[in-house]
Amino acid sequence: MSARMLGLLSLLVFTLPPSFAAEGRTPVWLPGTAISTPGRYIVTRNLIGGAPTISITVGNVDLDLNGMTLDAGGVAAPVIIVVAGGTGDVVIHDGTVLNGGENIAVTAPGQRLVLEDLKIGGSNGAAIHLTDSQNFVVRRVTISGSNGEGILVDGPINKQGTIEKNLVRRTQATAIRVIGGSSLAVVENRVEEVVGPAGSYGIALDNCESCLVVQNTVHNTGDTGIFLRGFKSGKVYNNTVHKAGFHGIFLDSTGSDSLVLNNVVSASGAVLAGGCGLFVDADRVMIEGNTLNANSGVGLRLGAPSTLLTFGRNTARGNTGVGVGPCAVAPALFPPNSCNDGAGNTTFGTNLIPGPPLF
Amino acid sequence: MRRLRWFLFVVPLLAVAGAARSATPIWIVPDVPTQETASGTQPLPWQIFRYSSVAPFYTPELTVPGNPTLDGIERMDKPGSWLFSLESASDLGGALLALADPRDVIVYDGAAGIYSLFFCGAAAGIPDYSNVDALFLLGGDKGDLALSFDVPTQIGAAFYDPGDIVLYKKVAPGCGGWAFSALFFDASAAGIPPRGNVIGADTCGTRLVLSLDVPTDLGPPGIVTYLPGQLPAWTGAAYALFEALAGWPISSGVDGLACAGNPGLIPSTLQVNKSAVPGNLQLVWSASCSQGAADYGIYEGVLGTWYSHTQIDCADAGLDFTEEITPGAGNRYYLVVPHNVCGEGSYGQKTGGIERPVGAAVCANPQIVTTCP
Repeated sequence: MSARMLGLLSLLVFTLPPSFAAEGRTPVWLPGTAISTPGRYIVTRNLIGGAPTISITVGNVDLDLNGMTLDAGGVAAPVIIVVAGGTGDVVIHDGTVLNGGENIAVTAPGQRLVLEDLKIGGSNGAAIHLTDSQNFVVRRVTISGSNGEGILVDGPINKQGTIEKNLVRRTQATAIRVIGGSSLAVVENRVEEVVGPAGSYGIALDNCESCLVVQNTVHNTGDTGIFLRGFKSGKVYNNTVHKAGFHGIFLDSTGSDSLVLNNVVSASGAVLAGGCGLFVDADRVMIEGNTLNANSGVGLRLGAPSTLLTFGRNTARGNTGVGVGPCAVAPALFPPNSCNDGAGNTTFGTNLIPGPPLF
Repeated sequence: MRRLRWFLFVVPLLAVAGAARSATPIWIVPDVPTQETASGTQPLPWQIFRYSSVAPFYTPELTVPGNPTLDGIERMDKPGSWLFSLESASDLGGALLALADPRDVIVYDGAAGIYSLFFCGAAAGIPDYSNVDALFLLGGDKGDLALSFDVPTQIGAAFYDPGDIVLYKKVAPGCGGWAFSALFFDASAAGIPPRGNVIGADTCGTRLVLSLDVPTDLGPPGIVTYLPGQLPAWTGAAYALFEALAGWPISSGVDGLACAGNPGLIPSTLQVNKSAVPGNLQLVWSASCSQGAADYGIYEGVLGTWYSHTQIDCADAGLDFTEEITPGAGNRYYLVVPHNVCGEGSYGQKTGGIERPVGAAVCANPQIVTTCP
């Protein structure tokens, strides 16, 4: 008899996920399923094992995990692997993916990949590893407990993509890392507890042109909070970084021509003393309106390789100034809160960094 | 032509071994447009198709106006008549006077060509978040209405799972004159997993035939995964494959399912004539009152040894309600009993309205006795 009291069964109504294979979707109910025909698929039960649990070997696939859990059981293989070489239009969404070597691995070049509304945990490698996905979206994914990166996008092809509204926590390597991108947006992500060693960043972009790093929060990382190498013609604004292991935001010397605006960075150098709030080695960057307080190094550091930077209306207070100097290039700034070692940098004034009025 | 004698019939349930036979025909509705590969048709969600395990496999039977997606279906006893429920509210393209709710059941009167409300879910206390997912009648067109829902559904103080089937009893005229009666099929007790959703159901004799929305593990005996298009039957103790639809794609659900229905009974029209073949007799009768009759069995007994009848012919060749037989020696009596793949109907009634007993050997079992529509 399945009659139950109202209270208990009200709970049941809201806890049992639906299992409908409606709308002509093909059910997936066995671990080890290989999807080799284009179409729409729906997982109809929790799947354990399979190594990999699901393989996608063709493009034009929509895989709805349907709220189910895919658990590879700790094997070295991915939970979901996409090997649709040369094709595209793979969408994976709405479910939980656990305990794989890499939990979602896209191993072949492709286009138009979308990962949405996933919960990912217990990955022995990167939680999501996309290799040469030319156009991709990773959106509303919650990641915790990865022994590698949270989201890793690499490969020699220049990638366009959006990494948006993801939560990444407790990774042993960089939480969000993209190597080789253009027209890339890293937007509104939440990064927490990047517990790996040096080189474990909160967000790291390598060789990214026309990219956005916007409204992310980064908290408690093993190395620099937002690490931008070769960052050109991009925007970094409205990010919040706290307790970065080393620098809060760092733009290396191979980058240029970007805007760094209205970021809040504090308590940098939580792992390695001398971490600055905002450290810019790049050229011709506009730096404005940032709040850079209580960092181990200086709040605002314009490094020796930098040139022709423009800055104004920044705030830097309560910084310790560990390891900075000589800070002797004009305009000479004011350790321990700011430091300029680059040539041709220009302030347009109204910085709220302790110093002369209207500096 | 000489009229000799005529008889009518029915009986209580009697388990007599019958010959193995196909479970078809059955009637189905897909949840989406479905390109089946057995005969190349494309059943649509607003079409009821007859399915047979032999060619031509799928043939259209009824197209509901307004192209609504059908949920549950039931083949009624009344010729050409159907019950069905809807996936979403519809007035069937104007064929109904008002919108039918997904918790309602609609009747189609095949003779009159009229659609009307048969069961009004709101009046019967079914919450507005529930769809009637599967339905069938127990005991003929005037019998109880069995329903299954698409989500856990509260009726009174109790909740019923999407795999459960509950009974409603007619208590008053009109589509609102139904009252909850009992739980008919307890899915959890029958081993259906918590997420199991029955999207089609019907009885076939003593078996309950199910359609589930996704691949589902069922047992006993053992655990067998039934895919969409593979219809399991529950005997009360175990599952077995009832029918696997030929050419049915796994991506389509069998959203509506109806079995052969009730065989019914033939009216008092049996005539026994002299045959052109010397020594033979020709039996002539009228069709059963129920469209569930797929064939007819001839029973012969010894006059004076009442209820000694046993089957001598289980098929009406040509389905022309006429059959020639070679009578046994001595004085004999004859009964004609309708049957289908699910069982056989009435043997008629003896004095006092008591059903005649089933034959010593039968054409189909169990016996299914219902009143005529």
